[in-house]
Amino acid sequence: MGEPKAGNLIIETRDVSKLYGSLKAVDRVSLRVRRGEIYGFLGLNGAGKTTTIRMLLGMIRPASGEVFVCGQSILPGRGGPWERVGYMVETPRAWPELTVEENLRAASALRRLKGDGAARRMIALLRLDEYTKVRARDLSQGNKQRLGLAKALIHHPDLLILDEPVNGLDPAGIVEIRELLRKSAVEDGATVFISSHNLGEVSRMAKRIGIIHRGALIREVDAEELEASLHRSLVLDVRDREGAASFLAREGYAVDRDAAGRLLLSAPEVCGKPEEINAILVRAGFPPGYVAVASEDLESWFLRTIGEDAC
Amino acid sequence: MLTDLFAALSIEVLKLRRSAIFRVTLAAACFVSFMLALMMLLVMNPDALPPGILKTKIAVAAIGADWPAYIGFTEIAQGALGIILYGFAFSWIFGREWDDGTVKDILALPVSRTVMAVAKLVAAALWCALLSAVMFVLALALGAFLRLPLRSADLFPAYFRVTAVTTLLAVLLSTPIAFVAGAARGTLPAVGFVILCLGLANFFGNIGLGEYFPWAIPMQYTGAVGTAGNRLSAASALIVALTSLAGIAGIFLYWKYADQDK
Repeated sequence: MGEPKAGNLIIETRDVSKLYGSLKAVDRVSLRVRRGEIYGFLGLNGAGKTTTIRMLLGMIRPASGEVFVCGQSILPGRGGPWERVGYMVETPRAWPELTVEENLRAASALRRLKGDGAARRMIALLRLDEYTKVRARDLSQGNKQRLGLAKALIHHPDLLILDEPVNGLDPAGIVEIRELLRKSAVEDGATVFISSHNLGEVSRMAKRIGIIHRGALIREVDAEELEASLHRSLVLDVRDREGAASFLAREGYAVDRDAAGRLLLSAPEVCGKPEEINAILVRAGFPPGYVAVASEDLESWFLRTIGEDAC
Repeated sequence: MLTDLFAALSIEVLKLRRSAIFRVTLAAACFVSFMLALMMLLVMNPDALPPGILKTKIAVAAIGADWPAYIGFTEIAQGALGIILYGFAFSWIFGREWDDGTVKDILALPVSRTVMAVAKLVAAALWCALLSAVMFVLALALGAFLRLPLRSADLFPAYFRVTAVTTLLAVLLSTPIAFVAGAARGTLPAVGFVILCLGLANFFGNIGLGEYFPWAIPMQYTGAVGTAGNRLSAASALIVALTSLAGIAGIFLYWKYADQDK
Protein backbone atom coordinates (compact mmCIF):
# COMPACT_ATOMS: atom_id res chain seq x y z
CA MET A 1 0.00 0.00 0.00
CA GLY A 2 1.70 3.21 -1.18
CA GLU A 3 1.86 6.48 0.71
CA PRO A 4 -1.38 8.37 -0.01
CA LYS A 5 -1.09 11.77 -1.71
CA ALA A 6 -2.05 14.72 0.45
CA GLY A 7 -4.95 15.64 -1.87
CA ASN A 8 -6.37 12.16 -1.50
CA LEU A 9 -6.52 12.39 2.28
CA ILE A 10 -9.84 13.41 3.79
CA ILE A 11 -8.66 13.10 7.39
CA GLU A 12 -5.12 13.77 8.47
CA THR A 13 -3.80 14.27 11.96
CA ARG A 14 -0.16 15.02 12.62
CA ASP A 15 1.13 14.00 16.05
CA VAL A 16 -2.07 15.13 17.74
CA SER A 17 -2.10 15.00 21.53
CA LYS A 18 -4.59 15.96 24.20
CA LEU A 19 -3.88 16.21 27.88
CA TYR A 20 -6.32 16.34 30.78
CA GLY A 21 -4.14 17.41 33.65
CA SER A 22 -1.40 14.83 33.72
CA LEU A 23 -3.47 12.27 31.80
CA LYS A 24 -2.56 11.85 28.14
CA ALA A 25 -5.98 11.16 26.62
CA VAL A 26 -4.49 11.17 23.12
CA ASP A 27 -0.78 10.76 22.56
CA ARG A 28 0.78 11.88 19.24
CA VAL A 29 -1.78 10.21 17.00
CA SER A 30 -1.12 10.49 13.28
CA LEU A 31 -4.04 9.31 11.16
CA ARG A 32 -4.30 9.34 7.39
CA VAL A 33 -7.69 8.40 6.02
CA ARG A 34 -8.10 8.26 2.26
CA ARG A 35 -11.07 9.53 0.32
CA GLY A 36 -13.73 6.85 -0.15
CA GLU A 37 -12.37 4.38 2.37
CA ILE A 38 -14.10 2.93 5.42
CA TYR A 39 -11.71 3.34 8.29
CA GLY A 40 -12.30 1.53 11.55
CA PHE A 41 -10.99 3.19 14.69
CA LEU A 42 -10.79 0.57 17.35
CA GLY A 43 -10.06 0.78 21.04
CA LEU A 44 -11.26 -0.16 24.46
CA ASN A 45 -13.48 2.21 26.40
CA GLY A 46 -11.39 5.19 27.47
CA ALA A 47 -8.69 4.51 24.88
CA GLY A 48 -9.01 7.98 23.33
CA LYS A 49 -11.40 7.34 20.42
CA THR A 50 -14.00 9.95 21.31
CA THR A 51 -11.40 12.57 22.25
CA THR A 52 -9.77 12.06 18.85
CA ILE A 53 -13.15 12.35 17.12
CA ARG A 54 -13.94 15.56 19.01
CA MET A 55 -10.62 16.99 17.84
CA LEU A 56 -11.48 16.00 14.25
CA LEU A 57 -14.73 17.96 14.64
CA GLY A 58 -13.11 21.04 16.18
CA MET A 59 -14.85 20.54 19.51
CA ILE A 60 -11.60 20.17 21.42
CA ARG A 61 -8.33 22.00 20.92
CA PRO A 62 -5.34 19.64 20.67
CA ALA A 63 -2.53 20.26 23.15
CA SER A 64 -0.14 19.77 20.24
CA GLY A 65 -0.20 18.61 16.64
CA GLU A 66 -2.45 19.47 13.73
CA VAL A 67 -5.77 18.23 12.42
CA PHE A 68 -6.93 18.47 8.81
CA VAL A 69 -10.38 17.48 7.57
CA CYS A 70 -11.19 17.71 3.86
CA GLY A 71 -7.90 19.59 3.51
CA GLN A 72 -8.86 22.31 6.02
CA SER A 73 -7.02 22.92 9.26
CA ILE A 74 -9.39 22.35 12.17
CA LEU A 75 -9.37 24.27 15.43
CA PRO A 76 -12.23 25.33 17.71
CA GLY A 77 -13.65 28.67 16.64
CA ARG A 78 -12.18 28.59 13.16
CA GLY A 79 -15.05 26.95 11.31
CA GLY A 80 -14.53 23.98 9.07
CA PRO A 81 -15.82 22.05 6.09
CA TRP A 82 -18.90 21.06 8.09
CA GLU A 83 -21.29 21.19 5.13
CA ARG A 84 -19.36 18.14 3.85
CA VAL A 85 -19.21 16.29 7.16
CA GLY A 86 -21.87 14.25 8.95
CA TYR A 87 -21.18 13.02 12.45
CA MET A 88 -22.50 11.26 15.47
CA VAL A 89 -20.50 11.51 18.69
CA GLU A 90 -21.04 9.09 21.56
CA THR A 91 -24.63 8.36 22.57
CA PRO A 92 -26.92 9.94 19.98
CA ARG A 93 -29.13 12.66 21.40
CA ALA A 94 -31.94 14.66 19.89
CA TRP A 95 -34.01 17.55 21.18
CA PRO A 96 -36.35 15.53 23.39
CA GLU A 97 -39.47 17.69 23.08
CA LEU A 98 -39.40 17.63 19.26
CA THR A 99 -40.75 14.76 17.20
CA VAL A 100 -38.56 12.64 14.95
CA GLU A 101 -39.77 14.62 11.95
CA GLU A 102 -39.16 17.97 13.64
CA ASN A 103 -35.68 16.92 14.73
CA LEU A 104 -34.84 15.93 11.17
CA ARG A 105 -36.30 19.14 9.74
CA ALA A 106 -34.20 21.09 12.23
CA ALA A 107 -31.09 19.13 11.25
CA SER A 108 -31.91 19.77 7.61
CA ALA A 109 -32.35 23.54 8.17
CA LEU A 110 -29.07 23.76 10.09
CA ARG A 111 -27.40 22.02 7.12
CA ARG A 112 -28.89 24.68 4.84
CA LEU A 113 -31.05 22.17 2.95
CA LYS A 114 -34.23 23.51 1.38
CA GLY A 115 -37.65 21.99 2.02
CA ASP A 116 -38.42 18.82 3.94
CA GLY A 117 -37.45 16.33 1.20
CA ALA A 118 -34.21 15.37 2.96
CA ALA A 119 -36.05 14.71 6.24
CA ARG A 120 -38.62 12.52 4.48
CA ARG A 121 -35.88 10.63 2.62
CA MET A 122 -34.07 9.91 5.89
CA ILE A 123 -37.26 8.77 7.61
CA ALA A 124 -37.78 6.23 4.84
CA LEU A 125 -34.12 5.19 4.65
CA LEU A 126 -33.74 4.61 8.39
CA ARG A 127 -37.20 3.01 8.68
CA LEU A 128 -38.49 5.63 11.07
CA ASP A 129 -41.88 5.96 9.29
CA GLU A 130 -43.84 4.69 12.30
CA TYR A 131 -42.20 7.22 14.60
CA THR A 132 -42.39 10.49 12.67
CA LYS A 133 -44.79 12.05 15.18
CA VAL A 134 -43.17 10.50 18.24
CA ARG A 135 -41.17 12.82 20.46
CA ALA A 136 -37.48 11.98 20.58
CA ARG A 137 -37.58 11.45 24.35
CA ASP A 138 -40.07 8.61 23.88
CA LEU A 139 -37.96 6.64 21.38
CA SER A 140 -36.23 3.37 22.23
CA GLN A 141 -32.42 3.38 22.34
CA GLY A 142 -32.29 1.67 18.94
CA ASN A 143 -34.55 4.26 17.32
CA LYS A 144 -32.59 7.09 18.95
CA GLN A 145 -29.55 5.56 17.27
CA ARG A 146 -31.37 5.54 13.93
CA LEU A 147 -32.40 9.15 14.40
CA GLY A 148 -28.79 10.07 15.18
CA LEU A 149 -27.64 8.34 12.01
CA ALA A 150 -30.38 10.02 9.99
CA LYS A 151 -29.17 13.43 11.22
CA ALA A 152 -25.60 12.52 10.26
CA LEU A 153 -26.54 11.30 6.78
CA ILE A 154 -29.21 13.88 5.91
CA HIS A 155 -27.01 16.07 3.70
CA HIS A 156 -25.17 13.32 1.74
CA PRO A 157 -21.86 14.10 3.43
CA ASP A 158 -18.49 13.38 1.83
CA LEU A 159 -17.22 12.32 5.24
CA LEU A 160 -19.11 10.46 7.92
CA ILE A 161 -17.59 10.39 11.40
CA LEU A 162 -19.45 7.92 13.57
CA ASP A 163 -18.71 7.04 17.15
CA GLU A 164 -20.06 3.58 18.05
CA PRO A 165 -22.89 3.79 15.48
CA VAL A 166 -24.47 0.40 16.11
CA ASN A 167 -24.67 0.60 19.90
CA GLY A 168 -28.16 -0.22 21.08
CA LEU A 169 -29.30 -1.75 17.78
CA ASP A 170 -30.67 -5.26 17.54
CA PRO A 171 -28.86 -7.78 15.28
CA ALA A 172 -31.13 -7.03 12.30
CA GLY A 173 -30.57 -3.29 12.81
CA ILE A 174 -26.81 -3.81 12.94
CA VAL A 175 -26.82 -5.62 9.60
CA GLU A 176 -29.07 -2.93 8.11
CA ILE A 177 -26.87 -0.05 9.29
CA ARG A 178 -23.73 -1.87 8.16
CA GLU A 179 -25.19 -2.19 4.65
CA LEU A 180 -26.31 1.43 4.70
CA LEU A 181 -22.83 2.66 5.59
CA ARG A 182 -21.20 0.38 3.04
CA LYS A 183 -23.62 1.70 0.42
CA SER A 184 -22.80 5.29 1.39
CA ALA A 185 -19.13 4.53 0.85
CA VAL A 186 -19.47 2.49 -2.34
CA GLU A 187 -22.33 4.25 -4.16
CA ASP A 188 -22.04 7.80 -2.84
CA GLY A 189 -18.26 7.79 -2.53
CA ALA A 190 -18.42 8.89 1.09
CA THR A 191 -15.51 8.30 3.42
CA VAL A 192 -16.62 6.61 6.62
CA PHE A 193 -14.62 6.94 9.83
CA ILE A 194 -16.17 4.63 12.36
CA SER A 195 -15.07 4.09 15.92
CA SER A 196 -15.92 1.06 17.96
CA HIS A 197 -14.70 -1.19 20.73
CA ASN A 198 -16.04 -4.17 18.79
CA LEU A 199 -13.46 -5.51 16.35
CA GLY A 200 -15.86 -8.04 14.89
CA GLU A 201 -18.22 -5.26 13.88
CA VAL A 202 -15.52 -2.97 12.52
CA SER A 203 -13.76 -5.71 10.59
CA ARG A 204 -16.97 -6.48 8.69
CA MET A 205 -17.08 -2.94 7.34
CA ALA A 206 -13.66 -1.35 7.39
CA LYS A 207 -11.00 -1.57 4.72
CA ARG A 208 -8.43 -0.34 7.18
CA ILE A 209 -8.34 -0.47 10.94
CA GLY A 210 -6.41 1.70 13.37
CA ILE A 211 -6.02 0.54 16.93
CA ILE A 212 -5.79 3.11 19.66
CA HIS A 213 -4.72 2.05 23.12
CA ARG A 214 -4.07 4.30 26.10
CA GLY A 215 -4.21 7.30 23.78
CA ALA A 216 -1.65 6.06 21.26
CA LEU A 217 -2.27 4.66 17.78
CA ILE A 218 -0.45 1.38 18.22
CA ARG A 219 -1.23 -0.32 14.94
CA GLU A 220 -2.88 0.15 11.55
CA VAL A 221 -3.80 -2.84 9.41
CA ASP A 222 -5.60 -3.46 6.13
CA ALA A 223 -8.42 -5.97 6.13
CA GLU A 224 -6.22 -8.48 4.22
CA GLU A 225 -3.34 -7.88 6.57
CA LEU A 226 -5.61 -8.46 9.52
CA GLU A 227 -6.78 -11.73 8.04
CA ALA A 228 -3.17 -12.82 7.52
CA SER A 229 -2.10 -11.80 11.01
CA LEU A 230 -4.71 -13.92 12.78
CA HIS A 231 -3.12 -16.90 14.50
CA ARG A 232 -4.21 -20.27 13.15
CA SER A 233 -4.20 -23.63 14.87
CA LEU A 234 -4.77 -27.18 13.79
CA VAL A 235 -7.44 -28.67 16.01
CA LEU A 236 -7.38 -32.45 16.47
CA ASP A 237 -9.52 -34.80 18.43
CA VAL A 238 -8.63 -38.42 19.04
CA ARG A 239 -9.97 -41.07 21.34
CA ASP A 240 -6.70 -41.31 23.32
CA ARG A 241 -5.89 -37.63 23.76
CA GLU A 242 -3.08 -38.18 26.27
CA GLY A 243 -1.36 -40.78 24.10
CA ALA A 244 -1.63 -38.67 20.95
CA ALA A 245 -0.34 -35.59 22.78
CA SER A 246 2.70 -37.50 24.10
CA PHE A 247 3.38 -38.95 20.68
CA LEU A 248 3.23 -35.56 18.95
CA ALA A 249 5.44 -34.01 21.61
CA ARG A 250 8.00 -36.78 21.08
CA GLU A 251 7.86 -36.03 17.34
CA GLY A 252 8.76 -32.39 18.12
CA TYR A 253 5.38 -30.69 17.81
CA ALA A 254 4.28 -28.08 20.34
CA VAL A 255 0.92 -29.33 21.59
CA ASP A 256 -1.67 -27.24 23.40
CA ARG A 257 -5.23 -27.90 24.50
CA ASP A 258 -8.35 -25.91 23.76
CA ALA A 259 -11.17 -25.34 26.25
CA ALA A 260 -12.77 -28.66 25.27
CA GLY A 261 -9.50 -30.56 25.85
CA ARG A 262 -8.85 -31.09 22.14
CA LEU A 263 -5.28 -30.94 20.84
CA LEU A 264 -4.05 -27.70 19.30
CA LEU A 265 -1.00 -27.41 17.07
CA SER A 266 -0.23 -23.75 16.46
CA ALA A 267 2.99 -23.81 14.44
CA PRO A 268 2.36 -22.13 11.03
CA GLU A 269 3.99 -24.99 9.08
CA VAL A 270 1.58 -27.47 10.68
CA CYS A 271 -1.54 -25.46 9.78
CA GLY A 272 -0.49 -25.59 6.14
CA LYS A 273 -0.44 -29.41 5.99
CA PRO A 274 -3.22 -30.91 8.08
CA GLU A 275 -3.33 -34.04 5.91
CA GLU A 276 0.28 -34.86 6.80
CA ILE A 277 -0.42 -34.65 10.56
CA ASN A 278 -3.51 -36.75 10.01
CA ALA A 279 -1.43 -39.44 8.26
CA ILE A 280 1.24 -39.43 11.01
CA LEU A 281 -1.38 -39.93 13.70
CA VAL A 282 -3.11 -42.73 11.75
CA ARG A 283 0.22 -44.54 11.31
CA ALA A 284 0.95 -44.16 15.04
CA GLY A 285 -2.39 -45.69 15.99
CA PHE A 286 -4.17 -42.47 16.99
CA PRO A 287 -6.66 -41.94 14.13
CA PRO A 288 -8.21 -38.45 14.54
CA GLY A 289 -11.96 -38.21 14.73
CA TYR A 290 -11.80 -34.51 14.02
CA VAL A 291 -9.27 -32.35 12.14
CA ALA A 292 -9.77 -28.65 11.37
CA VAL A 293 -7.78 -25.46 10.87
CA ALA A 294 -9.24 -22.80 13.21
CA SER A 295 -8.58 -19.09 13.02
CA GLU A 296 -7.99 -16.99 16.09
CA ASP A 297 -11.10 -15.01 16.84
CA LEU A 298 -10.93 -11.24 16.31
CA GLU A 299 -11.36 -10.34 19.94
CA SER A 300 -8.37 -12.51 20.87
CA TRP A 301 -6.34 -10.88 18.11
CA PHE A 302 -7.31 -7.44 19.41
CA LEU A 303 -6.47 -8.31 23.01
CA ARG A 304 -3.19 -9.88 21.87
CA THR A 305 -2.35 -6.76 19.88
CA ILE A 306 -2.96 -4.35 22.74
CA GLY A 307 -1.34 -6.83 25.13
CA GLU A 308 1.81 -6.88 22.99
CA ASP A 309 1.84 -3.12 23.09
CA ALA A 310 1.36 -3.08 26.83
CA CYS A 311 4.46 -5.29 27.18
CA MET B 1 -25.94 34.85 7.67
CA LEU B 2 -29.50 36.17 8.14
CA THR B 3 -30.94 32.99 6.64
CA ASP B 4 -28.85 30.95 9.08
CA LEU B 5 -29.99 33.13 11.98
CA PHE B 6 -33.62 32.81 10.97
CA ALA B 7 -33.30 29.02 10.67
CA ALA B 8 -31.60 28.73 14.07
CA LEU B 9 -34.10 31.10 15.68
CA SER B 10 -37.08 29.17 14.26
CA ILE B 11 -35.68 25.99 15.82
CA GLU B 12 -35.12 27.67 19.18
CA VAL B 13 -38.67 29.04 19.17
CA LEU B 14 -40.07 25.61 18.23
CA LYS B 15 -38.11 23.93 21.03
CA LEU B 16 -39.40 26.54 23.44
CA ARG B 17 -43.03 26.23 22.32
CA ARG B 18 -42.88 22.47 22.72
CA SER B 19 -41.31 22.57 26.19
CA ALA B 20 -43.15 22.22 29.48
CA ILE B 21 -40.93 24.89 31.01
CA PHE B 22 -42.43 27.49 28.69
CA ARG B 23 -45.93 26.75 29.96
CA VAL B 24 -44.70 26.68 33.56
CA THR B 25 -43.17 30.18 33.30
CA LEU B 26 -46.33 31.50 31.64
CA ALA B 27 -48.37 30.00 34.45
CA ALA B 28 -46.00 31.58 37.03
CA ALA B 29 -46.40 35.01 35.41
CA CYS B 30 -50.20 34.63 35.44
CA PHE B 31 -50.16 33.34 39.03
CA VAL B 32 -48.26 36.41 40.26
CA SER B 33 -50.74 38.71 38.49
CA PHE B 34 -53.70 36.90 40.02
CA MET B 35 -52.11 36.96 43.50
CA LEU B 36 -51.58 40.72 43.27
CA ALA B 37 -55.19 41.18 42.17
CA LEU B 38 -56.32 38.99 45.05
CA MET B 39 -54.31 41.16 47.44
CA MET B 40 -56.03 44.28 46.09
CA LEU B 41 -59.39 42.57 46.46
CA LEU B 42 -58.62 41.93 50.13
CA VAL B 43 -57.45 45.52 50.60
CA MET B 44 -60.74 46.68 49.10
CA ASN B 45 -62.74 44.36 51.35
CA PRO B 46 -60.84 44.08 54.66
CA ASP B 47 -63.97 42.95 56.47
CA ALA B 48 -64.06 39.82 54.34
CA LEU B 49 -60.95 38.62 56.17
CA PRO B 50 -61.18 36.79 59.50
CA PRO B 51 -59.24 38.44 62.33
CA GLY B 52 -55.57 37.45 62.09
CA ILE B 53 -52.09 38.43 60.99
CA LEU B 54 -53.04 39.20 57.39
CA LYS B 55 -55.89 41.47 58.37
CA THR B 56 -53.64 43.29 60.88
CA LYS B 57 -50.85 43.66 58.31
CA ILE B 58 -53.16 45.15 55.71
CA ALA B 59 -54.51 47.60 58.27
CA VAL B 60 -51.01 48.58 59.48
CA ALA B 61 -49.59 48.97 55.97
CA ALA B 62 -52.39 51.36 55.08
CA ILE B 63 -52.34 50.27 51.43
CA GLY B 64 -54.60 52.31 49.21
CA ALA B 65 -57.18 50.39 47.21
CA ASP B 66 -56.54 52.26 43.96
CA TRP B 67 -54.66 52.02 40.66
CA PRO B 68 -51.41 53.73 41.82
CA ALA B 69 -51.02 51.31 44.75
CA TYR B 70 -51.89 48.31 42.56
CA ILE B 71 -49.48 49.30 39.80
CA GLY B 72 -46.79 50.05 42.38
CA PHE B 73 -47.09 46.47 43.63
CA THR B 74 -47.03 44.98 40.15
CA GLU B 75 -43.90 46.97 39.32
CA ILE B 76 -42.17 45.74 42.49
CA ALA B 77 -43.20 42.17 41.64
CA GLN B 78 -41.84 42.53 38.11
CA GLY B 79 -38.56 43.95 39.40
CA ALA B 80 -37.94 41.04 41.76
CA LEU B 81 -39.64 38.30 39.78
CA GLY B 82 -38.06 39.45 36.51
CA ILE B 83 -34.60 38.51 37.74
CA ILE B 84 -35.85 35.02 38.66
CA LEU B 85 -38.12 34.30 35.69
CA TYR B 86 -35.90 35.83 33.02
CA GLY B 87 -32.79 34.37 34.58
CA PHE B 88 -34.48 30.99 34.51
CA ALA B 89 -35.43 31.48 30.84
CA PHE B 90 -31.83 32.22 29.86
CA SER B 91 -30.52 29.39 32.05
CA TRP B 92 -32.82 26.89 30.37
CA ILE B 93 -32.32 28.02 26.78
CA PHE B 94 -28.54 27.79 27.11
CA GLY B 95 -28.06 25.12 29.76
CA ARG B 96 -30.49 22.56 28.37
CA GLU B 97 -28.14 21.72 25.50
CA TRP B 98 -25.71 20.34 28.09
CA ASP B 99 -28.46 18.78 30.22
CA ASP B 100 -29.86 16.98 27.18
CA GLY B 101 -26.44 16.19 25.67
CA THR B 102 -27.43 17.93 22.43
CA VAL B 103 -24.70 20.57 22.48
CA LYS B 104 -22.36 18.37 20.46
CA ASP B 105 -24.93 18.31 17.64
CA ILE B 106 -24.75 22.08 17.14
CA LEU B 107 -21.00 22.57 17.27
CA ALA B 108 -19.85 21.33 13.85
CA LEU B 109 -22.49 22.67 11.48
CA PRO B 110 -22.44 24.98 8.48
CA VAL B 111 -24.40 27.41 10.68
CA SER B 112 -21.73 28.93 12.91
CA ARG B 113 -21.65 28.62 16.69
CA THR B 114 -21.90 32.41 16.95
CA VAL B 115 -25.17 32.36 15.00
CA MET B 116 -26.46 29.55 17.22
CA ALA B 117 -25.64 31.60 20.33
CA VAL B 118 -27.25 34.76 18.89
CA ALA B 119 -30.40 32.77 18.06
CA LYS B 120 -30.55 31.56 21.64
CA LEU B 121 -30.12 35.08 23.01
CA VAL B 122 -32.89 36.39 20.76
CA ALA B 123 -35.22 33.49 21.65
CA ALA B 124 -34.65 34.03 25.37
CA ALA B 125 -35.23 37.79 25.03
CA LEU B 126 -38.48 37.15 23.12
CA TRP B 127 -39.58 34.74 25.81
CA CYS B 128 -38.92 37.36 28.53
CA ALA B 129 -40.74 40.03 26.51
CA LEU B 130 -43.73 37.72 26.19
CA LEU B 131 -43.78 37.06 29.95
CA SER B 132 -43.64 40.80 30.64
CA ALA B 133 -46.41 41.45 28.14
CA VAL B 134 -48.58 38.78 29.79
CA MET B 135 -48.01 40.29 33.23
CA PHE B 136 -48.67 43.81 31.93
CA VAL B 137 -51.91 42.95 30.12
CA LEU B 138 -53.17 40.76 32.96
CA ALA B 139 -52.42 43.49 35.51
CA LEU B 140 -54.48 45.98 33.50
CA ALA B 141 -57.28 43.50 32.86
CA LEU B 142 -57.50 42.43 36.51
CA GLY B 143 -57.30 46.04 37.73
CA ALA B 144 -60.18 46.94 35.43
CA PHE B 145 -62.11 43.89 36.61
CA LEU B 146 -61.68 45.03 40.24
CA ARG B 147 -62.90 48.52 39.24
CA LEU B 148 -60.05 50.22 41.08
CA PRO B 149 -60.50 53.97 41.42
CA LEU B 150 -58.54 55.98 38.84
CA ARG B 151 -57.60 59.66 39.19
CA SER B 152 -55.42 60.09 36.08
CA ALA B 153 -54.95 57.95 32.99
CA ASP B 154 -51.33 59.19 32.78
CA LEU B 155 -50.57 56.30 35.08
CA PHE B 156 -50.76 53.71 32.28
CA PRO B 157 -48.08 55.09 29.91
CA ALA B 158 -45.79 55.44 32.93
CA TYR B 159 -46.55 51.83 33.92
CA PHE B 160 -45.80 50.67 30.37
CA ARG B 161 -42.47 52.55 30.47
CA VAL B 162 -41.49 51.00 33.80
CA THR B 163 -42.44 47.52 32.56
CA ALA B 164 -40.44 48.01 29.36
CA VAL B 165 -37.37 49.37 31.16
CA THR B 166 -37.52 46.68 33.86
CA THR B 167 -37.78 43.95 31.21
CA LEU B 168 -34.89 45.43 29.26
CA LEU B 169 -32.73 45.67 32.39
CA ALA B 170 -33.54 42.11 33.46
CA VAL B 171 -32.88 40.77 29.94
CA LEU B 172 -29.56 42.62 29.72
CA LEU B 173 -28.56 41.26 33.12
CA SER B 174 -29.41 37.71 32.05
CA THR B 175 -26.49 37.40 29.60
CA PRO B 176 -23.99 36.53 32.37
CA ILE B 177 -26.50 33.88 33.51
CA ALA B 178 -26.48 32.40 29.99
CA PHE B 179 -22.69 32.39 30.11
CA VAL B 180 -22.72 30.53 33.44
CA ALA B 181 -25.16 27.98 31.96
CA GLY B 182 -22.60 27.24 29.22
CA ALA B 183 -19.42 27.42 31.27
CA ALA B 184 -20.91 25.31 34.08
CA ARG B 185 -22.53 23.03 31.48
CA GLY B 186 -26.10 22.91 32.61
CA THR B 187 -29.21 24.70 33.79
CA LEU B 188 -28.85 23.97 37.49
CA PRO B 189 -25.60 25.90 38.17
CA ALA B 190 -27.07 28.87 36.29
CA VAL B 191 -30.24 28.77 38.40
CA GLY B 192 -27.99 28.67 41.47
CA PHE B 193 -26.22 31.75 40.13
CA VAL B 194 -29.60 33.50 39.70
CA ILE B 195 -30.51 32.77 43.31
CA LEU B 196 -27.12 34.04 44.49
CA CYS B 197 -27.56 37.25 42.45
CA LEU B 198 -31.03 37.77 43.90
CA GLY B 199 -29.75 37.31 47.46
CA LEU B 200 -26.88 39.73 46.88
CA ALA B 201 -29.23 42.20 45.18
CA ASN B 202 -31.40 42.25 48.30
CA PHE B 203 -28.37 42.70 50.49
CA PHE B 204 -26.88 45.57 48.45
CA GLY B 205 -30.30 47.16 48.02
CA ASN B 206 -30.94 47.13 51.73
CA ILE B 207 -27.58 48.67 52.64
CA GLY B 208 -28.11 51.49 50.16
CA LEU B 209 -25.73 50.28 47.45
CA GLY B 210 -28.42 48.91 45.15
CA GLU B 211 -27.65 51.22 42.27
CA TYR B 212 -24.08 49.83 42.07
CA PHE B 213 -24.84 46.12 42.13
CA PRO B 214 -26.06 44.99 38.68
CA TRP B 215 -28.87 42.65 39.75
CA ALA B 216 -30.17 45.11 42.38
CA ILE B 217 -30.64 47.83 39.76
CA PRO B 218 -33.98 46.58 38.28
CA MET B 219 -35.27 46.00 41.81
CA GLN B 220 -34.12 49.46 42.86
CA TYR B 221 -35.73 50.92 39.74
CA THR B 222 -39.12 49.40 40.52
CA GLY B 223 -38.87 50.12 44.23
CA ALA B 224 -38.52 46.49 45.30
CA VAL B 225 -35.41 47.56 47.26
CA GLY B 226 -34.05 50.98 48.20
CA THR B 227 -35.79 54.26 47.60
CA ALA B 228 -34.77 55.27 44.05
CA GLY B 229 -38.22 54.39 42.63
CA ASN B 230 -38.46 54.62 38.80
CA ARG B 231 -35.20 56.49 38.40
CA LEU B 232 -32.15 55.03 36.70
CA SER B 233 -28.88 56.82 37.34
CA ALA B 234 -26.21 57.07 34.64
CA ALA B 235 -23.90 54.94 36.80
CA SER B 236 -26.54 52.22 37.08
CA ALA B 237 -27.20 52.28 33.33
CA LEU B 238 -23.47 51.97 32.65
CA ILE B 239 -23.09 49.11 35.14
CA VAL B 240 -25.97 47.19 33.50
CA ALA B 241 -24.54 47.80 30.01
CA LEU B 242 -21.05 46.66 31.02
CA THR B 243 -22.38 43.59 32.84
CA SER B 244 -24.45 42.65 29.81
CA LEU B 245 -21.55 43.17 27.42
CA ALA B 246 -19.30 41.05 29.63
CA GLY B 247 -21.95 38.31 29.56
CA ILE B 248 -22.29 38.48 25.77
CA ALA B 249 -18.52 38.42 25.28
CA GLY B 250 -18.29 35.45 27.63
CA ILE B 251 -21.01 33.56 25.74
CA PHE B 252 -19.43 34.07 22.33
CA LEU B 253 -15.89 33.33 23.47
CA TYR B 254 -17.00 30.23 25.36
CA TRP B 255 -19.15 28.87 22.55
CA LYS B 256 -16.47 29.52 19.99
CA TYR B 257 -13.23 28.57 21.68
CA ALA B 258 -13.82 26.44 24.78
CA ASP B 259 -13.23 22.69 24.71
CA GLN B 260 -16.55 20.89 24.39
CA ASP B 261 -15.98 17.45 25.78
CA LYS B 262 -19.37 16.77 27.36
